[in-house]
Amino acid sequence: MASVKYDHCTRIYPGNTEPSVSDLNLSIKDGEFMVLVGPSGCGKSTTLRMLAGLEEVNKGRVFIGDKDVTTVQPKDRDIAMVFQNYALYPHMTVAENMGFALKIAGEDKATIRKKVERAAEILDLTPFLDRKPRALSGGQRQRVAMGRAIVRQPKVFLMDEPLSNLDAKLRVQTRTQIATLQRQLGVTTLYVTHDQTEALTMGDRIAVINLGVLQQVGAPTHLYEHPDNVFVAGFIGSPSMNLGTYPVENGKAKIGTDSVTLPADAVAKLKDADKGRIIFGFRPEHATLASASDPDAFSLYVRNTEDLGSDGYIYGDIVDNDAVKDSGTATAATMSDQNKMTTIRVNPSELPNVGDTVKIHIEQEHMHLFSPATGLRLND
Amino acid sequence: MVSVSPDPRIAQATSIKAEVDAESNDQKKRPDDKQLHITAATTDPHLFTLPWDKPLSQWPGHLLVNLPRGISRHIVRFVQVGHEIDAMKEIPRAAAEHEYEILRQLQKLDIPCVAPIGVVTGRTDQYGSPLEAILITRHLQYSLPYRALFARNVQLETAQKLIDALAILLVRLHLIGFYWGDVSLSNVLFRRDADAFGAFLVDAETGSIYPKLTDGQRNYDVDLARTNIIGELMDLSSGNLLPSNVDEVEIGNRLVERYNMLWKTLTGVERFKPNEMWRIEKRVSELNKLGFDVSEMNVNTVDGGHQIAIRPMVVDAGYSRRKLLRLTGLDVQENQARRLLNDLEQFRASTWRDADDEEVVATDWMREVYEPTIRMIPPEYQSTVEPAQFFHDVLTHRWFMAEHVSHDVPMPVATADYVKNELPKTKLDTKALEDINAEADAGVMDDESADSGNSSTSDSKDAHQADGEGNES
Repeated sequence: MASVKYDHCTRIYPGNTEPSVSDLNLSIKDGEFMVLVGPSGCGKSTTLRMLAGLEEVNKGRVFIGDKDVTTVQPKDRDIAMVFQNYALYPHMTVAENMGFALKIAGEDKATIRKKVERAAEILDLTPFLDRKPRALSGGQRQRVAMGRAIVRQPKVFLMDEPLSNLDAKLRVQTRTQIATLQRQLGVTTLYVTHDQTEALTMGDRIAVINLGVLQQVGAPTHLYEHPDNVFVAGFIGSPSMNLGTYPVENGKAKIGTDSVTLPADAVAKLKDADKGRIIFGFRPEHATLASASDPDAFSLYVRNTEDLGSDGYIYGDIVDNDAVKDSGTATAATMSDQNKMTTIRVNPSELPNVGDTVKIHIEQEHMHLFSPATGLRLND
Repeated sequence: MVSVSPDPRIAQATSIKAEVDAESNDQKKRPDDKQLHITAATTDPHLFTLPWDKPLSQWPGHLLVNLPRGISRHIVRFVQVGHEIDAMKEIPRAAAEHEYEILRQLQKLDIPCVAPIGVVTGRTDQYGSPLEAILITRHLQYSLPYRALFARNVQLETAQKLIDALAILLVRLHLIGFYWGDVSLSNVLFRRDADAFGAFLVDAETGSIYPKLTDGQRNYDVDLARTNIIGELMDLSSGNLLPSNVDEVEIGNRLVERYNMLWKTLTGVERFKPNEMWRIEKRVSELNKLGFDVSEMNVNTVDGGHQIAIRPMVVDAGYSRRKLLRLTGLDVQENQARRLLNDLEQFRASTWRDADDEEVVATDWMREVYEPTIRMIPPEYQSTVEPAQFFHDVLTHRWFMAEHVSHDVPMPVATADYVKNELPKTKLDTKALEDINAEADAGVMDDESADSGNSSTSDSKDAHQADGEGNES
């Protein structure tokens, strides 16, 4: 096992002017499960492949433990690219399927058996070790494939969208298994996904990347509760954070026809470049229904509601100039899940009727405020 | 609105394949998620009448064709669609769309691979529950998975030929910037090409095309190929299907050696003195022998003009293939073409027609030699025996017959003898085929399919008798 360190790593593809990964500094602790997450084209797979040795590093260095592996060939890095379409061999027993790579590497029979037995124990495959794949269920076969990866006991596991080729049922099941396995084995793991839910549920820490630049690294809850910039705010969380840009007048954000008082310290940080505007964000679960006369709330025209039993969701458009924006214009002002409408989570018993206009209040501690000019967070 | 502006790098993103999943994870459904959608490169109406509302493992036997399948993690079935046989693979939508697109690109680049036919998405069963997407590719006629070849007591030499074919395929893929990520014998199909084999890519799930591969990507592919080949051969050995004189590790190492040798010959920079310009011609000749043509040669002076450095730009092989196509209209593989052209030359010499136009002689050769031979392929073999390969095998058989009787043997006599005594040996018996397909299903990781997969082809059509023309003589 080992730590991993990216030290000012940059990767520019031939023919491109912009780097796909730019000046990346990232440390993964020994035994840590680090998830790289971001949208398509953000550079997360490139980042993983730099560690795997599949991409050249144009600037900077990559370390596994204390060893500089920047120019070391993939097979000499003691890493394992996991679960990329491992096939099971029908004539081999489960034990042989799991251990054959060790046999190729010249390990003796007793050592192979010991390692295979340990992996089988973790994967709950001990009773099946002498069976052939044909006698197993699909899920058990999937675990044998995992076993093939883990018996090698590499320093680092690399997983690039490992669940993307699995069918929907196996995907959820395997997600849990990978997370559990990683914790049992304690092998340093770098896991790449586009799916923020996968990232939030699996990682010890998450690194969010966009356009080749590392946006924020932290524990899932920290990223959720305290996004450093507007990209992370919008990317992490499902349903996603409601975000809109509004004028600031006398310390208040003018949201539609209403005004909402902002924390003074955040307003004080606004610069000329922000042109008197602020990005105002809040999570659906942090909104509360307020009375019609509440002076510190904004109006929402209810377009749709959902009663999920435990939760109720209101989807609506912010009321502006006493007229409800049509959905087209509404998308320009807000960002959330359902057709870009503002999303509010409430107790199902509080759900209003479609067509109502409701008042929404956000506590200052639950506001996420960002500079329109820089996208950076303004409040603590 | 706060939004992220599009970036050109997105076009190169490897995770685009997963974008659809991102949406479904967010419980945002595409409008057509529950509507059957077929993207197809064919207009065959039969495609639109298939039971898309059933899991592939439950498709009725009368639609299926019993051909040998390779090991796969996913359910794969051969289906008769009109006059064609298509391979259907049940995989998640994003993976199906990604693979379809990659196969289309490889096809445009003239890489030997299966032809992509379509992607079927938005499938639901009769109760409205979603089913996985299906990738459709055309079955590569006359081809066999390696396991079907090994079911016939192959010799060490055959195993080596398969590895050589795979090495050539891998080099060709790397030359065009394709990183495979999952190189194995299971992910190719083999078609006989005279005395050698041609390898065709059948699984591009993990592959991507880059402007240029790094050494790391190439080396990873080669290392993975070695591991997988050794594993696959060890498995055959466990099933007593590998000759005892075959050393699995040695065969795996052969792939690495062959690949490195080919890569160096094809792409290496060679330096020599200005008075050794004949070495350019030698290099071109070496490349031609390996089956590659040179489209361009970069020649530079180095070391103050005291040395010349050359680097060839190679293109697809096919000199003989193109020549035969021009002369006869026959589109066959390179080694087959070479053999046929040799026979054409012999015909020309033996009929004293050296002065005649090549095209005229070729027309006569077709009418008098090639076509009468091909017409002798028995009907029951016509869907499995490739004509050019049959002709090659008859030529070889005729040579052995002539050597045995110490005089020339007429082509019709040799053909009749070959059909009677050799052709039946190429058939894969029903038991072997059943075993191969049961083995192929043993690796499927989908829960439902794992239980039902083995029996699903029991009543399928056997018209094709599950055979290529793999004569190991």
